[in-house]
Amino acid sequence: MLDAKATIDFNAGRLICSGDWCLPTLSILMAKLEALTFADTTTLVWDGTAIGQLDSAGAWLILHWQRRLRVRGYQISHQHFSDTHQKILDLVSAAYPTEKIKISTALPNLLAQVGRVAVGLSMGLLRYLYFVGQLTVSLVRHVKGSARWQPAALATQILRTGLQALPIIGLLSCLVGVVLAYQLGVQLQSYGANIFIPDLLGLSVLREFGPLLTAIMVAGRTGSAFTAELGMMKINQEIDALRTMGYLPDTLLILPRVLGLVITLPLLVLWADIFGVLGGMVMSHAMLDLSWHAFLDRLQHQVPLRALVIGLCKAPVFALLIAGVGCFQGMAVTGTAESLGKNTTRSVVLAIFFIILADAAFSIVFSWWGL
Amino acid sequence: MTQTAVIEIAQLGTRIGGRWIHRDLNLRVMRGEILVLAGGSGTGKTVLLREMILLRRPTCGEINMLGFSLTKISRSQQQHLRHQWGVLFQQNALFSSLTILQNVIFPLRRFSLDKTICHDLALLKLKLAGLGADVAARYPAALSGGMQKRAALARALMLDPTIVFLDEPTAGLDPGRVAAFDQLILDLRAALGLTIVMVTHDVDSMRRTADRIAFLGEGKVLCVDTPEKVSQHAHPLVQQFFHNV
Ligand SMILES: Nc1ncnc2c1ncn2[C@@H]1O[C@H](COP(=O)(O)OP(=O)(O)OP(=O)(O)O)[C@@H](O)[C@H]1O
Ligand SMILES: [Mg+2]
Repeated sequence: MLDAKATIDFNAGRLICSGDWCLPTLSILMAKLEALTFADTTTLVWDGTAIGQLDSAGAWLILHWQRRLRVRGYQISHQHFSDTHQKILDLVSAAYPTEKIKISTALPNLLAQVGRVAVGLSMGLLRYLYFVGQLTVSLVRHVKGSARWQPAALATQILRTGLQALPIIGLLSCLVGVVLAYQLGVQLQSYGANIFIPDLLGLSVLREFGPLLTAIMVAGRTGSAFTAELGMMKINQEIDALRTMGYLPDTLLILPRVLGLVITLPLLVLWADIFGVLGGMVMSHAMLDLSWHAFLDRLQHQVPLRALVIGLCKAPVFALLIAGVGCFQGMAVTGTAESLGKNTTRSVVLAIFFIILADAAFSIVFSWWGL
Repeated sequence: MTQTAVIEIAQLGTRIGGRWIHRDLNLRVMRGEILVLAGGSGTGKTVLLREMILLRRPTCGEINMLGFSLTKISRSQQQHLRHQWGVLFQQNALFSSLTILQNVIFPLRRFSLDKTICHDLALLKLKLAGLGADVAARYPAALSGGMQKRAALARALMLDPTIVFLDEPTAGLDPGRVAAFDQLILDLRAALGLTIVMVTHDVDSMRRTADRIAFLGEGKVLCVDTPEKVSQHAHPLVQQFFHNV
């Protein structure tokens, strides 16, 4: 098929086709037809004796050219087309497309584009507020007891967002602790201030790195999963099915995810704190010869409990941000695979953005309060 | 009709999840014929179709297609085969992020054709399948189920394939459309000499189009014959299917 040959020749008022008139030869034939000139004649005979294979694309080409030539004032007749080829020509000519597709190639107006983006963003914000409001109402109804809790769904979410995340979060926190201890150790060693490493390490891990890094990891791991799950259910019309059965997606899908993460993220942060400090301790022992006992002793006396509590306080807020953005983006998916991908990306990027923003806000507020 | 087999399935067995879906299944599809695969729901018609189009490996047995054995076929031969068939999936499988027009011209990519030619060819196929130019710029999600089906059919027919596999092409179409579809299938076969393997549950449609019906049941082909003969077959599953007894 691929090395198919086809030609068309013009000779004494006859257009003689030969070879295979099919898709692979279409562009060659098109070029050959363009190059033909018909000297002093107004009647053309289209001769199909020597055509080997003819497919619908080839038939379309013949009909297309006949139309063009007729417009230019030629009389055209067919000759010697075999029965099957004639059938193809009939089939194609019955369905010959006469309309043209309008595809606008005009560049979009810049001002209109800016306006559209601005309106889109503010509508997005509005919809997000609406979503949060709806969720709050649904939570209130649950608390008042007028809607049924879904303990099984909640347990599933706790299992998936909490328990199954333990290994990876433990490992990464441990590595962060190691790196932190190493960098601090290099600096402190040159001042002979090795003994201060538990203070610095404990404070930074418990107060900042533990919550922040855990939240970022969870945004990548769980926030994206929320968006993808809900988005896929949206595409499959599963959400519509739930609605028609009288279940609200809020109750069955969203609230368990949000509450589940609010419960698990503080626990994950605690877990990350433990492993972060552990990693730092191992590194201090190996590099700075700080004994286990000395490390723990200093950690206990020099790092205030406040650092841990502040770190843990941030976790539920981060959880609300991650789950809220993840679920919202999931419910905003519209029918196409592309929109699913776009919203999943957006969910992670926005969640991380808001986490860092919230962390900065926390720092400012805590410094006001002198904590 | 020349009596050469384009597809030959011998002693095919498929085991999914510890259950035999097919067991010792034999079937031949002749060149230029319209073969309907019939059978109750869940008898493995879609699975068999997927095995024929290299989307799934049979557990045992042989499938021979256009002279190639599907179990011992090289990568380039697979590509060569794939270019010769058109497939309509049970769930349409239109690309959701492309417009209908882009979906239909998708198979033309490897022919580096001019854009306007591609558009005209796509419109031709859409029109054959019963859709107008007005849907061309829309996305699949914005079409009704039956329109999606016809767009998917247009895409399957884009390259005038040697063999066309259709999984429930008329499900979700109104009776008038079904009749038009049957006529289209017959016209295409007459004009282009296609071989068509079609799964359908529509008894009227198979009576109109099928040269032969292969009835699947109990993991085998229970009988292969002309529509009249198959509907007379004595097997209880066949009787139940055709006469609701
Ligand atoms: N991916 C899979 N995993 C497990 N079982 C499967 C899978 N795909 C198919 N099956 C089983 O194989 C059997 C045949 O399925 P198949 O989809 O081929 O049915 P069918 O004949 O096309 O039915 P229908 O007419 O309803 O489309 C079914 O019993 C189904 O449960
Ligand atoms: Mg099926």
